[in-house]
Amino acid sequence: MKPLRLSIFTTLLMVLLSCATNPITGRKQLALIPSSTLNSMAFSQYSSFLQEHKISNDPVQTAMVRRVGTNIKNAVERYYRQQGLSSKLEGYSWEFNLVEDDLVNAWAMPGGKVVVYTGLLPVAVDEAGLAVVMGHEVAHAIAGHGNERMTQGLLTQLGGVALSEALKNKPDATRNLFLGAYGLGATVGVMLPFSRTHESEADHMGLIFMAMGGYDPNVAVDFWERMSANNKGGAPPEFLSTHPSDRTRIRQIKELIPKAMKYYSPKKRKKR
Amino acid sequence: MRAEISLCSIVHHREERSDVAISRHDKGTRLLRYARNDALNVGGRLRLSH
Repeated sequence: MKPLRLSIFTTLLMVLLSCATNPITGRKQLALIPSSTLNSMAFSQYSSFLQEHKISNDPVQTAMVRRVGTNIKNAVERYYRQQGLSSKLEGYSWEFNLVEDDLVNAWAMPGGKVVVYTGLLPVAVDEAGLAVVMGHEVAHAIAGHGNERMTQGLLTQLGGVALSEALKNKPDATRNLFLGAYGLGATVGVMLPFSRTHESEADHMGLIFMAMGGYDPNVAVDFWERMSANNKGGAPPEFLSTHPSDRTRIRQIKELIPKAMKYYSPKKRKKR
Repeated sequence: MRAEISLCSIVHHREERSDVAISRHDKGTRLLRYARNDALNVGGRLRLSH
């Protein structure tokens, strides 16, 4: 086999082997970074983040964040075990921390590292409201969105390198024009829509996960209405945003509630 | 080429990424190594450095 054909064959094989299907939503995914590599990088970064930021010393709020996170995580692990999918959760090291900051936000890193900011708690209102957030973050981690985003970033860069190479004999102004258009097109046309797909998928999975954890998914609509009221005028237009608009999220969540309710049983969760 | 690890947050923020580079280690082992750590910037305010 000629070298070019061999490299094309190897690349195609690698892409095929790196394809996976999300067991909850059925979406096809491409993740080229080995999970073990990604996780160890995320664990190191998470640890540094915690050293450099103030972890809440409020024992009640901290316990609530950890309890809700653990309830959801346990329920999801139980579900994956029942479905014979436990291998998909190997390598995770779950951690849920509350960090002092007025930001109304929370995030997850690959491998199950989650941070909630204290600024989010007044909007969450109670444990069920917080479960909307934790379900969403656990979903990001389990769906491997970090890996997918990193893969997309690498492929986008690869396209940029190829374009730059193809234009190397053109005048600087022409190259800059094409590369600028590529960057803008890749961001607005590929990266941001993918990011919004991830967020909608995390909302979808999160709704089911919170229900599995024993939290009523109907609460998610109230939560997002409060988030919307809190964020009045602060959000960019949807096509320039990493996340769907609040209105889109509320509509999608309302459509998914009947599906999530099939997993809901309030007796399942630990209350203390 | 740089690979970027994303923070998957619940709402939009201006910058959610931390840049890392994928490099070839001396012994040929593939390692992910931090190359630029000034970009983990949640809401433009929180910074992570190594």
